[in-house]
Amino acid sequence: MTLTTSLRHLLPLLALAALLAGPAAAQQPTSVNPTASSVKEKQLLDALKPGSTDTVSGRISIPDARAGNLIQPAGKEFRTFRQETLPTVGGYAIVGMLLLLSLFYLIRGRIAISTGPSGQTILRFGSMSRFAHWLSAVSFIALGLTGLNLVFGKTLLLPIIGPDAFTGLTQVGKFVHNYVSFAFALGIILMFVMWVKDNVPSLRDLRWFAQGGGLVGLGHPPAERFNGGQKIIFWSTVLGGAALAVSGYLMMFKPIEIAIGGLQLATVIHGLVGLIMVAIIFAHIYIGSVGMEGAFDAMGKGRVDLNWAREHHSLWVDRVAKSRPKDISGGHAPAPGE
Amino acid sequence: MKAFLAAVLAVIGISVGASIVLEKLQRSSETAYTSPTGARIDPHHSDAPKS
Repeated sequence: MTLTTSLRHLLPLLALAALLAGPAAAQQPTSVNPTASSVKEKQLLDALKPGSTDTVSGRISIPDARAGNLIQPAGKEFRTFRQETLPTVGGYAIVGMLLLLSLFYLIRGRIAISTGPSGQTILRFGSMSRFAHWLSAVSFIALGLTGLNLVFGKTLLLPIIGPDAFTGLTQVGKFVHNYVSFAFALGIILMFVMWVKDNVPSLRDLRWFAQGGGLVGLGHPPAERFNGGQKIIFWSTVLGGAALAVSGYLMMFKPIEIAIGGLQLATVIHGLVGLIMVAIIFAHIYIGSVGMEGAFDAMGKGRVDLNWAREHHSLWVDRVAKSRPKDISGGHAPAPGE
Repeated sequence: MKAFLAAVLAVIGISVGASIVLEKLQRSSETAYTSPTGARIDPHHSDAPKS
């Protein structure tokens, strides 16, 4: 049999084998279904229905696995909070505080030193205390402005300056917000360490509040180095600052394995506490500047008028007069009623 | 107002320092997406953490 004859017999057999093997090869491998683990359309639609709690996640190739969430129903509530509730609550808090302070100024006016300036001064805050205060204050203003832009900028600023400028401003603001936060945190820690011993709440604070703290009505209730109102500012700043720092650094560094819901909660806390603190600090700035004669000197120069100190912190003045008379200008201890 | 000026300088200094340190610590998103070492495909980890 020649080679040509052999091939002539073999070719039909090869063709038959190929016909039989073709469909089988098309079905291989039978153990792998490429769409078996993929998200079905119905599952997606179900997850998008109101009230659904199903999270649809997948596998991704970037380091942060949280980005693998395709649908997270709780995210819709978060988005509503972020875009509607937070600006509304924050707007009411800030505008409400400004209106309240304006009204208070119209009714009460600037709180003057009732006996007039004495000409003598007393050391209220040393240079380190003032440094810590201004470190927190300057950084808080930067954080407040950049933070407010994140909440209200899209509504208030974008229509005025346009999308290009708003995008650039917000991007720079985001970096400023992140970097300046460290100075703010340091300032809060310094203030806490230096002033906590004088800010322990006491029954005297309740009596101070009961008498209107000298802000409402006549006369000034006795107070130590910090009165009840100042203690509220102190603890609001320390606790609020701690909440802002923890929630902020949680978002920035993600030091622990935290689900996306946890990060959204941190964002909610950060936004709410930040806006409330802005409102509280407005009151602090008011009473420390235009609202009260002689108050700004405490942080401006470090020394305040002795009569101002007697009116607002009489018990503290008595203590300083006995223990550190050199802190009073002229070096002599003032007699009561002097 | 020396304390105020010192605080302003401190805020600037701390912020610049923080930006330098963070710039060295964090990986940019460009690296995460384009570098072969930045992309981590883990066949044993198929689902993102659920909240």
